[in-house]
Amino acid sequence: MIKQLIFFRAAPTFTKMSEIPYEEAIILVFDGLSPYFIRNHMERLENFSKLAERGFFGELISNIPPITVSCAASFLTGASSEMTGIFDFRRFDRLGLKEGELVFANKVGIPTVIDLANELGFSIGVFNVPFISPPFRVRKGFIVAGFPLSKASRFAYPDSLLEELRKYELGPEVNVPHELSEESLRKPLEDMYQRWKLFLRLRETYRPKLSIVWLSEIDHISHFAWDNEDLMTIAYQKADNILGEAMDLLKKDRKSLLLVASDHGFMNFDGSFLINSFLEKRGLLSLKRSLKTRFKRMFTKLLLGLREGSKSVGGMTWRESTVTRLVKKFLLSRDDVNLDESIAIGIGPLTGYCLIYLLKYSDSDLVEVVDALKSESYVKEVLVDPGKDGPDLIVHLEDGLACDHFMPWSPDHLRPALKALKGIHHIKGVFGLWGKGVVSCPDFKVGIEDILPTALAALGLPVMNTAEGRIRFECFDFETQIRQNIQKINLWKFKVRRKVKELKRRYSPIRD
Amino acid sequence: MEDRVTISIPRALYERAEKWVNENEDFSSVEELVTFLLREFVSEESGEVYSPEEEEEIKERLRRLGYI
Repeated sequence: MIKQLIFFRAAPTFTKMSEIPYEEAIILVFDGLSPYFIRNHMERLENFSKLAERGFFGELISNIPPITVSCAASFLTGASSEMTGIFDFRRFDRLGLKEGELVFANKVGIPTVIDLANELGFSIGVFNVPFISPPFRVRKGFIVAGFPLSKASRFAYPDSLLEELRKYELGPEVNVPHELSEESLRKPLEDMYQRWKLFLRLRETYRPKLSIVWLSEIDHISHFAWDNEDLMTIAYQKADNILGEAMDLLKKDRKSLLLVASDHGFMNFDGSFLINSFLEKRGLLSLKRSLKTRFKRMFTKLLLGLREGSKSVGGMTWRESTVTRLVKKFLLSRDDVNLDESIAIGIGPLTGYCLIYLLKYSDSDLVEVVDALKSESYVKEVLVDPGKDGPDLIVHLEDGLACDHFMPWSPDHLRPALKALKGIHHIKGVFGLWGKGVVSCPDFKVGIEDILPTALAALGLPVMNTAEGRIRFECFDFETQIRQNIQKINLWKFKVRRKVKELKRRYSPIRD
Repeated sequence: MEDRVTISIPRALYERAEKWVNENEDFSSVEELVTFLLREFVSEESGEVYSPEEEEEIKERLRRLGYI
């Protein structure tokens, strides 16, 4: 009797299968698009304006540090860098104190949406997503890799598509010149538009249920022209045109959902914080006392004096040539660090975050380094043990400062910004929604790891249980339907695979 | 059918594996689990995808943006 009663009361919910609101979702990512720039120029960006008025336009919180490779991994897995373990463009070899192999977003040891599509058999389109590395397989759909691959790589799947794309002039390379003008901006923006057109063609052919389309040009342009409002406005207007086309597309396909996002935003580059100079000054990092190291210190200082305020000795502005390779031999490097007498070292990409590794981890070392950093007024926050495979500490600097991990060369650890770079990544990116049933969400910020689970749930597809992002139900009229259809999937094989791979990694040095 | 051989593993380990298989529906037997694990372990990784020249080109593109 009780059972019957419960059944009777529960029946209206469970007997009626809820309708899945969307049949297709397109995640359109403009790399590096800043929500602040858009808000400040809304009157010149009609489609973003329309998105804000009739759909949803808000902010996205990126990974720490906000680098494209970890962000691409988050879009593919629904997990943050804490879980994917990507904090840098290269794996860090703690024992050898050196950067190891390049990191790719689709090789993170947890299931990606490509694995999910292969497992469930739905069609997927991964277009121009950066830092994905072949070989890959997809049962239904297509994969086209983006930056930093070139046309010479196996950058697309299936092979028939690769052959076709190789005939095109436009490959995965992003060609944005350092010196930008209205004239030289035209070509990269046209490339961006052509990529979008190419995606539309592939969409027609492969009919993906879920697409991730990534356009990298805005990021590269922002690096070199962030201080030029006119040029940046032209670039953003091109992104706005593409957004307009995507929104129009959905007018015809009423059961499609558009998720617009950027992996991070941009901010001014006002100065550099030389983390290793700082650590040396505080007695936390020591250089060797050999004649060679002393000579290199002098040479580095002399060279930087000659190039004061203009160029960096850290990689960026130094094209690898015979001459630069020779010059670099005489510059301080990690080989000059006295490991026995050092406590900490900074190694990582040029962002507003310093990645710090403790050489002989102990609680007292940790406290000493954290205290030293916290005493600096421009340090906003120090994160301890931010995630697996990550550094021991991440230092968040005040806006405008970038952490330069170049070896110590000067007692002055705060330096003017490098002239070659005008903008650096900011943790806040863009998130927007467009489609039937999208409501103006409450004022909230979406995490980068939320995008994929939200898209999957809107399509009525299961979400991998390794995806830690939240499904943002509150942005849809169909909230109830989406909630009722939500399923989690345990792609156990991948867990085992990850464990086995970890084992392989652990034992391989012994085997070798 | 594939030619098969018999291997021996510690009984206690077998029993733990059997318990795990019974609790997880995805493998039908310990044999299937062991075969899967071994296959994963001995299978080659995706292998060298890039030639040294290609890898240097990739690094050059990353250097250009201050990424490495």
